[in-house]
Amino acid sequence: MANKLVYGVVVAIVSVLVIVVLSIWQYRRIQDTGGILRHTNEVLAQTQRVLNNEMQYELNVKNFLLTGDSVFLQIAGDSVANLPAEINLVKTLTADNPVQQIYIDSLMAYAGRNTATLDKIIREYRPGSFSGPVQLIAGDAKAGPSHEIQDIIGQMQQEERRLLDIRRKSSQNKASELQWVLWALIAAVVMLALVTFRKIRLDLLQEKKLTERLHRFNTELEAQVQLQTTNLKASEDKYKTLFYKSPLPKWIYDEETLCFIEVNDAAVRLYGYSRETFLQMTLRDIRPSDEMAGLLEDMVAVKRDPMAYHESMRRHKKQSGEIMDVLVTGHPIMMDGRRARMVAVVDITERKRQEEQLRLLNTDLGKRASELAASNAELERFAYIASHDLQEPLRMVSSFLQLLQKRYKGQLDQKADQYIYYAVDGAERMKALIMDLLEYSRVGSSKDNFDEVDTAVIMQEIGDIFRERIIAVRARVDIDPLPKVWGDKVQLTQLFQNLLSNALKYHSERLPSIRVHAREEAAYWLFSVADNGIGIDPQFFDKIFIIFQRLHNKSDYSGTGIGLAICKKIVERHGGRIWVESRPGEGSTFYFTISKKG
Amino acid sequence: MHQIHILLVDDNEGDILLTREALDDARIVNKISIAYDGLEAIHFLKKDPGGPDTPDLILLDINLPKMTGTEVLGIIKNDPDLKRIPVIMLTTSSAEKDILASYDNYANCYITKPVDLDRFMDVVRTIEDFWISIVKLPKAYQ
Repeated sequence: MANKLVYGVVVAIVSVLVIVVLSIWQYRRIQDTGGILRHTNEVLAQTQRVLNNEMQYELNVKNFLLTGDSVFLQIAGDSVANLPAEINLVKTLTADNPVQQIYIDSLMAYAGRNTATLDKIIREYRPGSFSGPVQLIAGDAKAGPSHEIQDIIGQMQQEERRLLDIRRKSSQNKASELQWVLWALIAAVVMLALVTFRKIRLDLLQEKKLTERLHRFNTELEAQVQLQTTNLKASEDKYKTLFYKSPLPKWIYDEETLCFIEVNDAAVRLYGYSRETFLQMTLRDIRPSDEMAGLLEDMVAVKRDPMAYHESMRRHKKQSGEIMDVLVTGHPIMMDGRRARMVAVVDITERKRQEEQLRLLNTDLGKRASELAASNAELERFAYIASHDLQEPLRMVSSFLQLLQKRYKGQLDQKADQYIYYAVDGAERMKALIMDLLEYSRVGSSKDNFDEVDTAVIMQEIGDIFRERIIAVRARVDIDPLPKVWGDKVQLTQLFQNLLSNALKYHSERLPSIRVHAREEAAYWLFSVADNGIGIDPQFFDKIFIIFQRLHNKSDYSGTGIGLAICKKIVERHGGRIWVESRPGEGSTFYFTISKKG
Repeated sequence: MHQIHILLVDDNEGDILLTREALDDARIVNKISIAYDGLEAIHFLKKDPGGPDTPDLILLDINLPKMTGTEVLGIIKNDPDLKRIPVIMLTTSSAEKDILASYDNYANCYITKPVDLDRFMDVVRTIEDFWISIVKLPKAYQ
């Protein structure tokens, strides 16, 4: 845009220069034409002078002839003498024109003849006799040199005028040609000026538009700045409120001097110093003397990594002298060009106390748990060793009693045989008890043998084992679909076996009917083994699960009373519980749960 | 029939008597040596390995004073001179760990002493029958 403008201006300037140069040239040319005109006039004047001389000569000759006054002759002689000089002047003036030169040569010749004529007249002059000179002059007048000279001068003047005319015309033509060029140039410059003007006008319009836009932008910007300033103010207010009204004690301190720069309300409340006092204190003043090492540590940490966020557990001193445990977090910020840190404080005195209590409690609990585990393990070991070691002497007692019975029966009296019988029977029962105790103690607490167990398969196997007994008592056993659970297969087998065995054993006069069922609950499987047997009095619901607790006379139902105790131990080992629902004479349902988590 | 020599390692006099009674009934065994604890058993065996006093069969209890039956078994089965002697674990224990420990130490068999007298007698006679009449033992000790 601007470039084009510059080109336009340059072209205009050049054009104007050309116009000026051409004008000067034109002027010169016009001046030249003037020169030619002057020259022509000069030539015409000179020829006129030659003619005048000639005519003066003629007139004076005639005057002399008429008067005989020699004065006229004198003047005629002067005139004729001047003539060559005058002609020569014409010759010089028309040196560039060969036509005129020819005329001049003729002129000279005629001038000479005039002189000769004059001489003849003078010589032949006789006062009072005019016949000779008149004759001469008359002849001369008809075809004499004067006549010729006049004729030639006329021709020369005509020639000059013709030349002048030609030159003027040519000059006029050239001038008009140039005039056209000048007009064209001026037109071009005017056009250029118009275009440039238009361009400048457009540019100005454009500029005006731009200025308007700029103005609009500026206005918008100002509005925005205004808004932002308002926002900033609001934001500042917000953060000020966040800082000052935060329930968390906060302050900002100078990293260099450790002086408090700003302290919020919560800090004032917690530490008990007034804001004014606070702002005159440093970090050192709120640390108990034994915490100076911690302060130093914090400062070193800050120095080492100034941009980092630091969190530390410290002890601070209140105005009252009370020491509290605090969790301190510090973030780097800039305050008026100085490095500072914004610190938030959490009073964890109570939390620490509770943690300590909890820790003590946990330790205590852990100790008790391990004590309990140890005691349990010891009990199991005791039961195992007792039953195992008891077997040895028992075997001795029973074996030798049997040997005695076998080898000496009938050799002693009847009473001795009876004594031996009871001794053997007691030994037998003790043996059974010991065996059960051993079995009970073997239901350990280890979960090493846990695996996925299909209780349906277990139940089927047990059904096979009990087939003969089921047939013998003509029992009906219904087994509903049973799930797969996570557990110890041997123990689960024993569990189902004991329950089914009991259900078969404690039947009433009715034909036994037994149902094994399982129901899925959120966290466990609920199994049930229901029978229509003799039932259990509710007062014994808990007792039946205690080891060696029997409800019946040994002669009515055999057994040591270990079965349900073992069931309880197994169920508990599988994260479940076992209970019974029963009505005497109607039947019992044993429920137990197996945790899904295993 | 050649002489059969059994070493009975047991600390229980009653059991020893019962075992003897049972073996005497069969009358195959000519010689029964007794060791009352593990250490004594080892001394007996190490006295003259491969000699005439070397037993053909060892009946070994587990609950023994001084050195347990499994330890004695370990020593026997690691001794090139003794390891061929069949060792029958004859014990009151039916604990799984005892059974495993015995077989891990190359016991030839493991038998729990039946509490019932008649069955005990049967078991001892069966041992005698099987290990002495049926089983072919290495010749070195015969």
